[in-house]
Parts: sequence; structure tokens; C-alpha cells
Amino acid sequence: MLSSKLKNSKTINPFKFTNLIWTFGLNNAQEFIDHRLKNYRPNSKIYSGLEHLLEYLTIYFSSTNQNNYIINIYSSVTLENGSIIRATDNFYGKAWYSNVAVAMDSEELFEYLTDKGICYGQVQYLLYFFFLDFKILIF
Amino acid sequence: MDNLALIRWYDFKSKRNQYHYGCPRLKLTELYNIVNVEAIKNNVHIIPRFDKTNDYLVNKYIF
Repeated sequence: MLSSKLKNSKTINPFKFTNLIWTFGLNNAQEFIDHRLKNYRPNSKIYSGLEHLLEYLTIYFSSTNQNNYIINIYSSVTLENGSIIRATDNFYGKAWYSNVAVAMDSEELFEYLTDKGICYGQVQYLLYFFFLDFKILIF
Repeated sequence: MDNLALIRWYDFKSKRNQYHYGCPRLKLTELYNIVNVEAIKNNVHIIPRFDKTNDYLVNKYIF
């Protein structure tokens, strides 16, 4: 029953996420991240990224009162133009964090120095989240 | 709004000389943000400058 409901609610996503690394609930994210941090060297990129992840997730979700979100972390995503963006500590044994061009919101353009509306960044984590409606878990 | 990426930003290394040979000259900052994957337009090739620390050029010519 659960799987059929989830299947029905699925929408088409233009971005193809591949290689699921982790999945966790937003309400136990702190616990999950603390546990994961123990497995990495403090100077590794994945460690510093994880330290920041929760902070920014909290900011991102602060406008919603719900915290029944499930967050999936993937190591790669394919954009609509076919480019593959990676954020992984182990791509055939090597770390690969893609550098990307990000189009800035036109309202924010005057706040930053940009390269003709583009800012550059390095992807630390790729995540996909969905809202887990507990009602569908009640059989 | 389901597809997100945690991004660590680059900024221009110098406000006065933003470009070298037509390429943006950047430094990696400690600023992070969660952005929508929709806003990511492409992969870019960013190369560290030889013998310098935290000094990068966006490769606009050879990709």
C-alpha cells in the first residue's frame, strides 16, 4: 500500500540524481551527521562539508514548520543540458567536487560582483528531499 | 524546489583586477549556500594558478 501511494505521488524530475550515498530524516539529521563525522579525517572536504550541511539545511527549512523531510544525498546529478555534476569523495578512488557556474537571481545581481550574472562555486553536496506524509504510513 | 546543492562559493580574488587574460580570477571562500539545482547552468573548469595559494582562473578558452 505504501509503495503504491508513493508511486502515484511521484512527479517527473528533470534532473537525474544517481548514486545514493546517504538518506536521513531532517529531524534526526544532527545525530546522523555527528555519527558520520567520526568516519572522516577532520581536514577532508567531506568533513568540512558535513559540518556546514546541517547549518544550511536548518536555515533552508526554517521557514517551514514541518520537519518530516527525508533527505537523500547523491554523488552525481545530470543537468538538463547533459552535464554531469559530481560531489563525491570517491569517484574511482579520487575525490571529485565539480566547479559550477550558477546563474544569480536578477534581484540579487546588484549585491554581488558577478561575471555577467554568473557566480562560481564548488559543489559540496547534492541533495534531493521529499516530504514524508505520515498519514500514508497509517494502514 | 526538491533538488538542491550545497555550494561553496568562489569570489573574485581582487576587486580591482577581476579578470586575467579575459578569465575571472577567483579565490575559494568559506561561504556556503544551498541553491536549487535549476540555478546551476554548467560545469566549469577552474584551475589553480601555479605557485600561488587560493588563486584560481576560470578556463574560458579550452574546455
